[in-house]
Amino acid sequence: MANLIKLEFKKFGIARNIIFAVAAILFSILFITVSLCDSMTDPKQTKDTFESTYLVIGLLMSFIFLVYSAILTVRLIIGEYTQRTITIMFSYPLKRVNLIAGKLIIITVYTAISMMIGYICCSGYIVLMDWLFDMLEGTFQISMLQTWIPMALTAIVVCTLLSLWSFIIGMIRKSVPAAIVTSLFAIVFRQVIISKNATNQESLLQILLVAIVTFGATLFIFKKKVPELY
Amino acid sequence: MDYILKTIGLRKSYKGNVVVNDVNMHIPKGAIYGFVGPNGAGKSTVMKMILNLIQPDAGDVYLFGEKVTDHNYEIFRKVGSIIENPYFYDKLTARQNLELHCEYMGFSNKERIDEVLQMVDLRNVEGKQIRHYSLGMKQRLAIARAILARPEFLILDEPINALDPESIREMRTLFRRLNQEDGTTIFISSHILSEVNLIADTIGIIQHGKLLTELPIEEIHKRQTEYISLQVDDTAKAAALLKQIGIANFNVLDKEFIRIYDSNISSKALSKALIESGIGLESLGRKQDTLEDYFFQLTETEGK
Repeated sequence: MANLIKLEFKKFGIARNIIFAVAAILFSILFITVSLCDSMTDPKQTKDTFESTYLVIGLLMSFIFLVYSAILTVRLIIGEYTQRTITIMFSYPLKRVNLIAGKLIIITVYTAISMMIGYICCSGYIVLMDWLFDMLEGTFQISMLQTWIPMALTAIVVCTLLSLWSFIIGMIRKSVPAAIVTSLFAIVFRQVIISKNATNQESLLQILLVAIVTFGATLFIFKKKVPELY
Repeated sequence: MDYILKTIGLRKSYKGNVVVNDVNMHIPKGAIYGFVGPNGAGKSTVMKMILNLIQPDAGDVYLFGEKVTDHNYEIFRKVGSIIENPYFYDKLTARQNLELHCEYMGFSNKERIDEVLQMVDLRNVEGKQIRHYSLGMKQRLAIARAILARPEFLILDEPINALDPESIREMRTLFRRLNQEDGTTIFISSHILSEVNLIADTIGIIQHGKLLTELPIEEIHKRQTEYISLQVDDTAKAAALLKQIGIANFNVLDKEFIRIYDSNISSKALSKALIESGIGLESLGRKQDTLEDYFFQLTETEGK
């Protein structure tokens, strides 16, 4: 399996995906900067708080990396079926389930790591900007990390789970649009759930529920849809 | 007999439409097995079932004496294949595609890549991305990939599609060489009967999903009867004359053509007799049934 992941990694093209992750983080930083500058310079507005800015970071991270994980799912998995290269893959002396599992592992690990780096960079950026230019309401306190870290970890776990839904739905009909649209639905679904919670994040029970349903559906796809060529 | 491939009662249907029906194939070790049939006869479906790419509704496939299942995928280490069209990773070069293939096959001899690229005459374009390749080039690269890991059994689905006549001849020579020098058993499908006739030593004919026959090509050659083909302006008069001069074994095909199945008759004497009787003789020649004739005889009989 490790050897297979290494091979898939070669096809994955790590350089361009690192470039994308860096570009996505820079875009998020730019977005935050514009938003902070706007609230600072407009006399009608009050400055943004650390809490609200951190929520924006969470939204940006989940939006960008969920959509990108769907694009990766299409490129690495569904594309193999639509472009028929899967006929070659499946004629290798390898367990087919492992071939697809290796790709999924790469996608989910990439999504999780990119989100984590994104959170660290963007959070570090707002702390630095506030320290240099007093751009946010209040001052950064170390105690804020007690809220930020669990929030970020929850978002990363949930988004990694939700990234599997592009695979699940996309594989049912081996459809590229279905995979992309599913990622958008997943973002909306997550926003609806967390906006109803006072903590602005999923409860442990909700995470467990999402995990169980996702694992069940993934297993079904592996059993029924992965071996099907068309 | 030692069979590389044996299928027992293979059957496959799509949405109630039976595309492969009770196919029992036998490919002896070291053979070049030509699998012929019109488009849509079920050739690719059978090949996909052999490679376990699709599951048969009924029946079993035995490769190297082992039943093909989802669990014994290791047997495919000894198999090279081209199925349907030549599919590649378009953004990778030919060499990168072949390197990937080596890795997936667990084949470590990378020098073999140079060898196979040379064999299919693609050495000079190996650094080009596949998206810039013509269909013929892709087809040759697919052949290179199929033979790369020195398989014992080659499954080639219409491998000469999109190739020019010179490339077809080169590939034919290559397949023969692989068969004779390396002992590779080759299973080749085609709807071009003349090509199969030139390369195969065993033939399987499939139509409407049914394997009509399976026999050595020598057997077909033995059955190929020699005949004299006559083209005349009046077949009734010509037939009467033939009977008159003691020729009974003939067939009137239509208003112009007659076939005489007696190779001892002198063409010269026959033409003289026809002309002297005032029958207009357009052409007269000795001919032999081809694989094509055999194929049509068989498929037409089956159709009836």
